[in-house]
Amino acid sequence: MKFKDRLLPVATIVVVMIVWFVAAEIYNVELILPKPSTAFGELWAAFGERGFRLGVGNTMLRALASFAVAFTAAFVMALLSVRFRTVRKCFYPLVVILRALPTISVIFICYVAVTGWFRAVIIAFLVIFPTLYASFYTAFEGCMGELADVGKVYKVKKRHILTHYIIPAVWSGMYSDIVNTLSLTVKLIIAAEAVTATAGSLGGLMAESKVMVDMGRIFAYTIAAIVLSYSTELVVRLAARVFAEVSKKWRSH
Amino acid sequence: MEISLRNVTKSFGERVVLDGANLTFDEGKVNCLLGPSGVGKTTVLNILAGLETCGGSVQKPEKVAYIFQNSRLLPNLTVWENVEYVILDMPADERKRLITSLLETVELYDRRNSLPKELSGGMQRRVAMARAYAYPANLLLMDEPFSALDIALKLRQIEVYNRLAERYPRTTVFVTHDVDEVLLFADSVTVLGKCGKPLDRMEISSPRVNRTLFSEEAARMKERIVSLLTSADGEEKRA
Repeated sequence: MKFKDRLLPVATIVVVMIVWFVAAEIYNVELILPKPSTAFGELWAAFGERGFRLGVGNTMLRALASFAVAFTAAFVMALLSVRFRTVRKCFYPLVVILRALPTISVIFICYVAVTGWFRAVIIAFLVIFPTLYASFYTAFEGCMGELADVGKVYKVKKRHILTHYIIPAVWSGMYSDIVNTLSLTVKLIIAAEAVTATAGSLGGLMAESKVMVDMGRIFAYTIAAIVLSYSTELVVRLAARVFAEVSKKWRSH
Repeated sequence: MEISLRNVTKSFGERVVLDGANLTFDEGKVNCLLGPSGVGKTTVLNILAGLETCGGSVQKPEKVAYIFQNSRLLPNLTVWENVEYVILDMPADERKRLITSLLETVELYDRRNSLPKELSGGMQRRVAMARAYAYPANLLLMDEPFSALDIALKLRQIEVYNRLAERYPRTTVFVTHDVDEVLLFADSVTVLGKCGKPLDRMEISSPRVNRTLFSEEAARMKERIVSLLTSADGEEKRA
């Protein structure tokens, strides 16, 4: 990557910080719009608190759990739907309902109906599952065209078709969708935790700060959420790159 | 084993593609189906490959290899893996030996770790050839394998095919609408008319290797084929 390409994103962040700083200076009410220095100071202080570290850890775990369950369910259901017409027809109305369901309704229903650690997980699952299902379905359907005939003619075993053709094709087509959905899951989990005032979570801490009208803390937690979401993306991208390199080495003859 | 289609019918919606087609292919030979677009050439291959169902009776071996019109290589797999994909059940050592030998024959061993998108169209077709020859089939189907290639590349691809055919002989059925390809490549040719009806069948006696388009036999056959195709076209227009 060229030096200029590396510099541009950093420059954008600097510009955002300057705009924030100038706006805070003009507004000059810390209670409503704290300065960047206040927000980052609060974030530094929060790092020293066990409750914050626990909250970030729990939020992260919930996001990963929710994503893993939605990913697996969407993969299996999409594969079955593409393969079997009956499954597709039966499953279609459910997907339509889940896709149209307002996020806030899901949050309110789960707030009343579910308690405990898994509440936010279920909320995020119900929201991201239809998105992942649609992506998987389209990707699998794309695999059923001309190239599927190669497997049919040469009588390639189903498991070999899955491991050598379908999974690699789906992965390369869905890679950015998967990364984006993972970031969305982090956001959803935090929103769900905040609305349901989940204890020991980043969203819960935000809700607490809102009650205290502690804008410095809200901004600090928001920065933490952005960093968390971006780091998750980075970890997935890095893992994908390592996996690609290793499999390339392993596959070369 | 005889490879044949008896009284075969096939329609796509209201469009009748094959109507009582009767075709027989010689064992161990390169059998060509020649005809204009829309007479059901590719449909015959798809029926032999088991990709299409039809009325009538079809006699064919259980294992069939197919070189499609577009190479249909799996985009995420390397050249080596694309060939390997159809013989994953073969013991590893045997598989490795076979793929190495095939890629050397089609002159792509050095490109074994390349992805299809990194290859030219001609190279992709050679990979598809290697894949077809890796599969232990008794029948090889080829759908316009040399179309859209310039004459130099076409001759080179035919040379590669002849090398493969010499090392791994098998019955071949290939379809084309190019008379020159027939003269360079086939042992026998069936000219197809409307709805898969055979208009004529001819044998080419000269050996495939080093065959030329400028021999007396080639000129005579070309004249005969062109006259058949022209009269069939005229009849169709009159009808």
